[in-house]
Amino acid sequence: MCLAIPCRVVELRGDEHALIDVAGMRKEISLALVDGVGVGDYVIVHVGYALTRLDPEEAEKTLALFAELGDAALRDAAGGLH
Amino acid sequence: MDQGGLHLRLTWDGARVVAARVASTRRPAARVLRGLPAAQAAALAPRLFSLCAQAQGAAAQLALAAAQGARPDAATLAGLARGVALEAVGEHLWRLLLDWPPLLGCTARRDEFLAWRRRLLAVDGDAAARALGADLLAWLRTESVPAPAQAGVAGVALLPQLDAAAWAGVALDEDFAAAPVWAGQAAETGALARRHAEPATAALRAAGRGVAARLAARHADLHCLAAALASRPVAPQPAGWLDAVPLADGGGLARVETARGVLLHLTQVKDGRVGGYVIVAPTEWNFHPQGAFVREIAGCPAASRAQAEAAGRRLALALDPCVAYEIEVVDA
Repeated sequence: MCLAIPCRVVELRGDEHALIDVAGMRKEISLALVDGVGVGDYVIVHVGYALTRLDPEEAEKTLALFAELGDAALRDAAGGLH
Repeated sequence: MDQGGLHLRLTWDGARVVAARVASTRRPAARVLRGLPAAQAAALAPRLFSLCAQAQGAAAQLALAAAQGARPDAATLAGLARGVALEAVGEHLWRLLLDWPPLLGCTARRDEFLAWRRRLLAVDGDAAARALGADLLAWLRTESVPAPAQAGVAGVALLPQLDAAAWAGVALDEDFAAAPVWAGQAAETGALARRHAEPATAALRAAGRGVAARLAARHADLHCLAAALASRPVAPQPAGWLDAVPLADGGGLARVETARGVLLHLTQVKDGRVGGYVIVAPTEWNFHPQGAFVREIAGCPAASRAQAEAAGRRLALALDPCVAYEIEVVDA
């Protein structure tokens, strides 16, 4: 029941990796499972892999939803992304 | 950012793991659905969860419909069942091709996994599902099942296969969701609970090799899913993999089988809005404070700290939590 927090891609790195930002925290993840991700895109991440790419509008809606859960929940979920 | 959803702490005395403790930082995400119009909650549920979006979406749709006295038609149910089955196939393949090989001294089979994943995501109807199921069956015939030597079987019961009506008799609330029990005891859910009667799985379990038994059960489960997808009409029959019942006072309860085990959604709808909402997920069964992980790892021989950690990692993967986890080994 891992929460599907949209993570913004802030930097593309070599070897199918990227730097993401969620709730102000940054982490390097693998892009091996998704195609065509660029800087500014939102992705859903689990255990270090981007699983799916979201359209920005949907991502913003989902982020607003998680905001209702509170910052603590968002941080918990972000902590589980590694 | 390195704390996980589950912290698994093993106590090691130099010869074996003597005790284990599970700490969870997971929150009841279902709370966010409360107060929403029922239709909005059904649309939102699959967006909340990353790994099991199909199962969560199906459970929410069925529970909310049942709470409002409605029942999706046969075509809708079949579509939900197909989505749930494809998602379970993807999860099983992820474990078998990406996660298990490195723990068994092999290389992750990334390209094979990516090829299957692309096909799974591209399924757009019964014909594509049938073709995928047939190819999966053919592939499974060429696969051998790894059998790690790790000793130990959990001293907890396997959760019986219950339908939604049977779950309706259980008081499901947030406390239950945090540490679920069956007949007052922790129980194991997942592929082993579903496929324990399959001969190879049963033999490994009887031989005291719980981790290998779960791997065999995962293969058997994948075989059943592939056969169901390959059949005409596409099974799994909805009643086998997902169902729902209405409850008193505008309540609805849905049960969906997932790769990791049973998923339950309990909701209450009043005047078109969601009142209560509780989700009971598989991870809370298997990583219960007295559950399969804790009970099976206790007593596991380990000549070194690294061996203790590796044993913990193999058992955790066999039980397949849906959140990130970390393992800590401390001296007794």
